[in-house]
Amino acid sequence: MTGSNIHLIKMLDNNKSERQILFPHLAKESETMFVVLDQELKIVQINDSAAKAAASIVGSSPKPGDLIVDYILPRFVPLLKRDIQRCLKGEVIKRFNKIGTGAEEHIFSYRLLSLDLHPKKLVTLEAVRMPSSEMMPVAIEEQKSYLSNIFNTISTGIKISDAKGKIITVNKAYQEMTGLSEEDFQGKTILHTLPEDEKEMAIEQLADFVLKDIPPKRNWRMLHKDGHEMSIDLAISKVRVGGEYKIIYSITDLSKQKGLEQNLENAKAQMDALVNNLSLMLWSVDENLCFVTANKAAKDYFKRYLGYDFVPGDLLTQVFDATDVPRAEKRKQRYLEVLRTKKTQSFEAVESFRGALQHLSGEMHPILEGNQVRGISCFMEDDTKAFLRSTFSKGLGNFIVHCAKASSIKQVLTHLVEDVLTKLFIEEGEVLLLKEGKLKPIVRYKEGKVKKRLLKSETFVVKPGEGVTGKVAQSGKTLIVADSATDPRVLNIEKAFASEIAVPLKVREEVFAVINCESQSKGFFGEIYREILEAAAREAGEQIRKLQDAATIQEMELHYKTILTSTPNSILLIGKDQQILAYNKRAGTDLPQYGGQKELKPGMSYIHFVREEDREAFNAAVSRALEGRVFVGEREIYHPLAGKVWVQVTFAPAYNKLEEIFGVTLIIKNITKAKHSEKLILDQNYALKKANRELDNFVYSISHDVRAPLSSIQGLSGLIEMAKTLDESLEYNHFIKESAEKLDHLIHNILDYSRNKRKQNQPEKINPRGLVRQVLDSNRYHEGFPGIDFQLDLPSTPIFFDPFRIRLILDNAISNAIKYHDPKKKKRWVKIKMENVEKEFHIIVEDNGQGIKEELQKKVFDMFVTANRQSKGNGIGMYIMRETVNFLEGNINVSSKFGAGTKIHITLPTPKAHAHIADR
Amino acid sequence: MLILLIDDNPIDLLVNDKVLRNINPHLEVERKLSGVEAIDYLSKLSSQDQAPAYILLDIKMPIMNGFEFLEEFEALSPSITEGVKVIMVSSSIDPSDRQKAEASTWVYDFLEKPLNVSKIKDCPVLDI
Repeated sequence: MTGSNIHLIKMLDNNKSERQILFPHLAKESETMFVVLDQELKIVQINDSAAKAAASIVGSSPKPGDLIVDYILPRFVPLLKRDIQRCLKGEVIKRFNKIGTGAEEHIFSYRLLSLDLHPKKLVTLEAVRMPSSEMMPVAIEEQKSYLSNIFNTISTGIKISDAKGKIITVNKAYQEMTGLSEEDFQGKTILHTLPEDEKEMAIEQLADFVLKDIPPKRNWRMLHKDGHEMSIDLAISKVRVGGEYKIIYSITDLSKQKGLEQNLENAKAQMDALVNNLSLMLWSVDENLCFVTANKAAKDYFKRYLGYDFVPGDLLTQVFDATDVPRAEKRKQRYLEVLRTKKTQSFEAVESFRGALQHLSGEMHPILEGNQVRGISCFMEDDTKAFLRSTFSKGLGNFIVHCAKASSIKQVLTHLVEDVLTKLFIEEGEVLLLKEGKLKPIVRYKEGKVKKRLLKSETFVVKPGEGVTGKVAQSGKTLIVADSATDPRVLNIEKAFASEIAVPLKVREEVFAVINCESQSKGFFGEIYREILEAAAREAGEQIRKLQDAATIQEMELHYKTILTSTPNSILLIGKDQQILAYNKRAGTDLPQYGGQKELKPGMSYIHFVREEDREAFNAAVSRALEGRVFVGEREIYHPLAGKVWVQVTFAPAYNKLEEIFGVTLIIKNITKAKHSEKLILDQNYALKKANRELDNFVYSISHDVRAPLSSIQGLSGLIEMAKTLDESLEYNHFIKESAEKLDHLIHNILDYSRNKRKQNQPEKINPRGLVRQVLDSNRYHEGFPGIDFQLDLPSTPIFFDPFRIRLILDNAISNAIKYHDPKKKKRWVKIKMENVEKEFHIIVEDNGQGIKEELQKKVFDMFVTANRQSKGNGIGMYIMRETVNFLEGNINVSSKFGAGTKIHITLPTPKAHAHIADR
Repeated sequence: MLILLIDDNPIDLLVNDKVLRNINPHLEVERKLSGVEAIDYLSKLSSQDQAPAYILLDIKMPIMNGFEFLEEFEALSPSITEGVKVIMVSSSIDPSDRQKAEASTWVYDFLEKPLNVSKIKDCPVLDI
């Protein structure tokens, strides 16, 4: 396995773990704020959106390791700490707190949930920023300004404290009453303006009011800055803001009762105006559950959604949905419980009045007079948007967690529907995949459940440009249809839905799919759905992109693996301490055979697969590779199946991500064929060199041998010039003829030689006796021929050979026997024997001539070797003879004793056998 | 003056003999067909006056070639070999033959066959 491949696999692993452990990493660009905290409230990870928000509060960006409490508003700290403690105990906290940041009036709603993805228990804080413009419509801004005006123009003194009595703010009237400025109240409690003897009672009564809703006494004494005491009338109420109670004290200076009633009138009118301008719905009922009062917002709500015109004195139960009896009864019981227990109750409800989804939350407070319940005051607010955002955030979190395990695009889209779409109170929804220019539904749900069967039976296909989804696929922009009955873009109005939204799902900026949601109610999909669905589409697009990237990496990995598997070479990766880390398929089958019967397994030491005699060299090569050098070695080894094989082993350093050598890659290649070719080339080279050498000798020798008779002729012609008599001239002329004949014979020999090289083997029937007679006849002019006794032992049956070649062999053998006769011996003989023995034909020519010196016997067949220059002939006769025998695939053997004689034994395969070989 | 001719080719012996005696009819010429015969002849000489002044030696001969002859010749009694000038006569154009001849202390010159009157007259060593 190569180094780069290792890197690839590690990369994959790292990606996966990061995704699983710190999933908000994926929400890096999400508008939702994500902060992962440890138990000491230190930031482990924070996304850009959250970092930006924190920076806007504190002025510097938080970093991992910082304490979260340094980055949030101080008054939010105790609540957050409490929530996190609860969260660590396993509780999932939801909260919709609005936290103003002062100057900028940023408002956040935040949600906490605990996750056990990391061994260390971590808490993920998720928060959604709500732009002030959305949360604070102009009307509220105006209301705030009215409130502030009323607060400061009203003649009644008002101070507001927290549940522990710490003063938050005081109005102008109160400042005038006490002679103190606003600054004087900073950090002070309500006790600040009380005389000493009233302080203890004030604390007790405040606690009773906060905890038990027991209102305090009305008549109190109060101190002015200059020390004089006043008698005051106190009205007290509490308001829940940001999860905590705020206490509002209305103080009237009884000593200045003059004009009080007028003031009260004014205050009441102003209060009415204020109450009626609030978007918060307020109403109250008496102890018989009959309406007493309601503000404008409440009246509008009753009218709009319930069709009820508010009339004081009407039974509250009129506004309950008469068609849903159990629910109406449940609500009634809740009111009765407040009357009974005298305790405040909070409620939360998801309503779908006339098609519009609403999330409502509010509180019911008992109206107490002393210990008597006189009625219930209620307030309710519509926090649908915050609720939807929060629901979406939770769903998106689950979606991201599920996507980490998704292995197909369909799974991602199914998770998108299950985790996000079905949680958004949408009646019907589907995801259509854009494929080959057409939109096809891939996941669909109805009534909160994914409907698989619905898709299988359907062949519904939309072309881009057609209908709402088709237009979205083409333009890449979200479309909202408020009323499908009137909107010309809607393709199929027979379908029973009234409104629709289609959002493009883009992967790498290209439309990949379209999310389409429908509702039975007109105008169901507002901007909040656009915001949420677009955010969902962005996240899904990102998840699909990651999946595709991972698939690309997996494909690449597969390709690498294929390369490794398909190579005919064994490839192994070994670690520093000799253990085998990885190997390819070939190594798995080949190595156990090279190294004995042991099965190859990762973790084994490679030394088992190296022969003992090679271990030292092998270890040295590994050490060199670990130092960063590539080493290539060759060895001939024994393979139990293939026999002797040559292997080439490459030792290359393997690098990790940090470019450090962590092991050695071994590539074992069978180079037996290459080695054989190499040997063949060496042999051929040797043969070529030999041929070259012979050619050199041939040139020198042939020039000498041709020149020798020529120079004789030249010398003789010189003698003829000098000759004085005709007889003398004739004698020289005779020698000229003799020399010319010798030259001619030599030329014939050379021709024979070249003919033997080129001529095809053409066997014919030959009479051996006739053949020998012809050969002897052609040699009769050799010196010494007449004195030699030729003893013949020849078969009478014909033989079957190429006549040219058999004659050439015989001629050379016999002429040598004649040429090298021993003139000193009185009886000179040459024995010529031929016989057929089984499939072999033997020719034996033996003489009692001069014989060949032992050291020359080996060289007699070489062409024109210097050592062979004793040859009386031309020096190529024996060479040609051997070449011819070789051509006929026979054997020639020369045995000789210097001074005693020579025996030439030629064995040739018989023609039939020979022809068979030739055919082959 | 005695000149010993050694050559396996009787024709060349005849030619060389005739050419030499054409220049100096009073020359004594001894012809030998092989090195073996020549060594045999030389070894039987009894005194230096009988030794040849020049030996004209062929290189390429069967049984004993010119160089092998020189080895045997060196082994002979100095009383015979002293003062003898050997001149190689060959039709070989192999440069290795010529180098070998020049390397030998006995060889005074190298003449290429065929010998003729002008070649012998031009030879600085052969003074007949």
